[in-house]
Amino acid sequence: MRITYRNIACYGAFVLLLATPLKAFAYIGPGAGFAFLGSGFVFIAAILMAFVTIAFWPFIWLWRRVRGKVISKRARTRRVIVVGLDGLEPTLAERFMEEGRLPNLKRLREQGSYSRLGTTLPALSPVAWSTFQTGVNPGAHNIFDFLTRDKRVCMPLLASTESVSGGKTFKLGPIKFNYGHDSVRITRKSEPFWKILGRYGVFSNVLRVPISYPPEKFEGNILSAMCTPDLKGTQGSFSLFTTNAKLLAERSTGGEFALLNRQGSLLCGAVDGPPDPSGKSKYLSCAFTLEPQLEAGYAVLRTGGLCVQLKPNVFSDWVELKFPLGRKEIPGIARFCLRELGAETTLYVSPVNVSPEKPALPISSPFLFSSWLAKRNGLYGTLGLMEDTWGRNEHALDDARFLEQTYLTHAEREKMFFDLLARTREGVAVCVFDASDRIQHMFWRYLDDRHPSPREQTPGLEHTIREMYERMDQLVGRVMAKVNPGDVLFVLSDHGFSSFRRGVNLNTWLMREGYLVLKEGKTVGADYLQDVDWSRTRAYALGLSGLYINKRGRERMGIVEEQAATALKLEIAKKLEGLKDPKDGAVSIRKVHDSALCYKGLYADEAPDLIVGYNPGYRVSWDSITGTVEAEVFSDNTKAWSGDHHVDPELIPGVLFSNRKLTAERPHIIDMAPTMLDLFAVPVPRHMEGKVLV
Amino acid sequence: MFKPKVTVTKELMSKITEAAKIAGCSNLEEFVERALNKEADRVLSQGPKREMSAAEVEEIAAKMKGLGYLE
Repeated sequence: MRITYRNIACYGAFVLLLATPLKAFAYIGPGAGFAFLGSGFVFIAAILMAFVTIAFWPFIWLWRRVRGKVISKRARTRRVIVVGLDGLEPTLAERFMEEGRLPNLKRLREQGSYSRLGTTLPALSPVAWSTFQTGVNPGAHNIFDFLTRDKRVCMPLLASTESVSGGKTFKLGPIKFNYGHDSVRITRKSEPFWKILGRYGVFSNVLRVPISYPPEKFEGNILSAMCTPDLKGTQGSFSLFTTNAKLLAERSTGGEFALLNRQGSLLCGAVDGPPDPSGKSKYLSCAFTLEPQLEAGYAVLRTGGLCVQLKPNVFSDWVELKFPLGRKEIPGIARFCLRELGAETTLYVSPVNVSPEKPALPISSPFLFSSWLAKRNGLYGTLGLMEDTWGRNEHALDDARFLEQTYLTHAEREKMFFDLLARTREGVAVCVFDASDRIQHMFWRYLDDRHPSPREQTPGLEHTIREMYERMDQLVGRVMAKVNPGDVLFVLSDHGFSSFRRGVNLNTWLMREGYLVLKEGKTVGADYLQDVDWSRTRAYALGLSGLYINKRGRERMGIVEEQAATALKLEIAKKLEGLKDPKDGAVSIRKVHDSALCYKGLYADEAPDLIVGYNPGYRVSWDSITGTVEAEVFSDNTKAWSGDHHVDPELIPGVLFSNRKLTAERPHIIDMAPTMLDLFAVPVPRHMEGKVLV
Repeated sequence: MFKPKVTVTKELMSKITEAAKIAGCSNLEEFVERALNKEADRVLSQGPKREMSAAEVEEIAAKMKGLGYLE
C-alpha cells in the first residue's frame, strides 16, 4: 500500500474500529470463500502496520524516489479523472444538449471534445469495461458475456469469477488439521491500466469499475463492482415478507417470498443470509419483528438490538443484520421498505449486501479500503448490481420505489467519489455510475410508444430518462468544478441504449432448423438445456450474446468435427442474418459475427462461435439466455426491463467527452487504457491494441 | 500458499516467459494455466460424459439469481 496520510488515517480508523467490541467473523464454508479473521489478530496486525508505516515513512519515501516510483517528469498531466456513466446513449445526449438540457456536457464538448465511442462485440458492460481496463479485445481478456459455459456439462456459469479449491488437510497421528480455504478469483485476464500505472509510481483510486471482483492487489485502491455477490452468494436476492397469503399464491416467478408470522401484536420473520456451513439449514438467518402502528402510520422493525421506524413506501437507511454462527456472527446490511401497512402488511427487504465496514468477503484492495470508505462516508451498498431490477420485474417494487433505490445508490456513490477525488491530488481517480444504465433498462418503455410492456399511471414517469440525463449532467458539472488546470477529464459510457420490444429464442430457432434436438417426446425444453439430446445436437445458445457449435474435442458432449465446424458456422450465420419477425416482417438480426474473425488472443477460442448482432427493438429472449427451448421463436417483452443494448455494436456506440482535444479519429473504448498510460509517460505495452486519443 | 508445483526446463521457462509477455498476461502463471487448461479440456472431452444432478443445477441457478439480465 502506498504510504500516504490517507493510509495512516485508514490504519488509524481501523484501529479505532477494532477498539470497539466486535464479534469475530467466521469461516462459513467453501465456494464463496468468506474471509475469516479473528478481531484480536487484526487489531494487533493493524497496530503493527500503523507503527511500521509511520516509523519507516521517510525511508520508504526516499526508496521510492531512488527506484523511480514517482510520476515521470515527462508526464503530460499529474492527474486524470475518469467518470463512467454506464449506458449513456449518444442520440439522447446529443438531443438533450441541443435542447439546452445538458449545459455542462455541452460546455465540456465546446471547451474540449466530444465523440461517439466505439464499443465491444458484444456491447455488454462486462465486456466493454474489461476492454476499457485492459486495452485489449475480449479474446485477450476472456470476458465475452455476463455468462460463460461449463464445457463439461454445457451449463451456464458467471463469466467473471471462478471458485478455486484451496482447502488442505494434514494429519498428525489421530489429529486432523485444516488450513487454507476455497476462494473465488477473477477470470478477467490481462492487466488493467491502473496496475501498470502503479508500477510506475502513478497511484489510482478506482471505484466500482465493472469486472473488478474479487479485487486485485496493485499500487492503488479499488472498490469492487459488478458481479460482487450478496451475502447469500447470489447476484442479488431480495425478500418479500407479507401477511397476505393470496399475494404469495399469485407470485409469478422467482423472488424470496415468505409469510410473516403473527405473534400477538408482532409480525415475525427471518432474513436469509450466508449459506449454513453446518448443513443444518440452507442459509443462516437473521430474525426480525415488525410491530405495525396503524394509527400512527408506521411500523417498528426490531432486529439484533436495533430499532428502526418504517414508513410506508420509504426506504430505510442501511440496517445492519447479524447472522449467528455458533458463538460468532456474520454481518450484512440491507434496506427495508414497507410496501403495505393496513389490513395486510408487506415488507420488502433488499438483497443482503456484504457489510463494507466488516466485510465477510474481499470487496476492496487493500482489504481495509472498504472500511475506510464506510467510516468516512457512512454505510453503502456493496452488491455488484445494486439496483434491484429483479425485484422490480417481480413487482416487489414499483417504478417509484425502484427509482428511489437507484438514486439512493447513486447518491452514496457520488459522495464517496467526491470525497476520494478531493484526496487524489495526483494520479488517477476513476468511478463508474450505474444509474444511467439501470434507469434506461427499466424505463425505456416510457419513451417507446410501441413497447408492449405496461406503463404505470403515475404522472411524470415519462420524463424519468430525461431527468436522469439532467442529473448526470449536473454531476459532470460538479466534477468539472473540481478539475484543476493541467488535469485531464474523461466522461464516457461503455455502450448506448435501444428499445427491447421483442425477444428471440435462439434455441427454439436452432431446434426448428434441425441444429438442436430435444430428447424423445419433448417439444419444449427445461432450463439449462437439460432436455437436449447432445448426441444429435450440433449447435446451442447460452448466455446473452452467442451461439456455440457442439464441437468434438472441445465440448464434453461434442459431435461436430473440427473440419465441419467452420462450414456449419457459416451456414447458421447465413440463415440467421436477416431473420424476420413474423409479427410485422421486421428484420430482427442485422448481422451474425464469426468470433474467429473478430477476436484474437490467448482466450479467443473460449468465445461463443457466433455472436448475434440484433437490430434495435430486439434481443435474445429471457428464456433463451438460460438455454430454455420455448414453443415460439419470437415473443413480446412485457417486463419492466424494456430497454437494452444487445444490439449490433456498430449501432450502439457510447459517448466520450474530454476537456482535451481528441487527436485521433473514431475513438473506441479499447483506446482508453493506452491513452491513460501515455498521459503519464508510461510505455504502452505491445499487447495493447488501441491508440492514444489525446 | 502451498499450491502444487511443477518444474520445467530453463529453456521452456524462457520460452513461456517471453510468450506470456507478448500475450499480455498479467503474470507467467496465467499463461501456464491457460495452456494447460486448454490441453486438459481437449483430452478430457474424449472421456466419459456425465449429466448434471438436480442439486448441481439448483446451485448454478442460485448463484445467478438477481442478475438483471436473467429471468
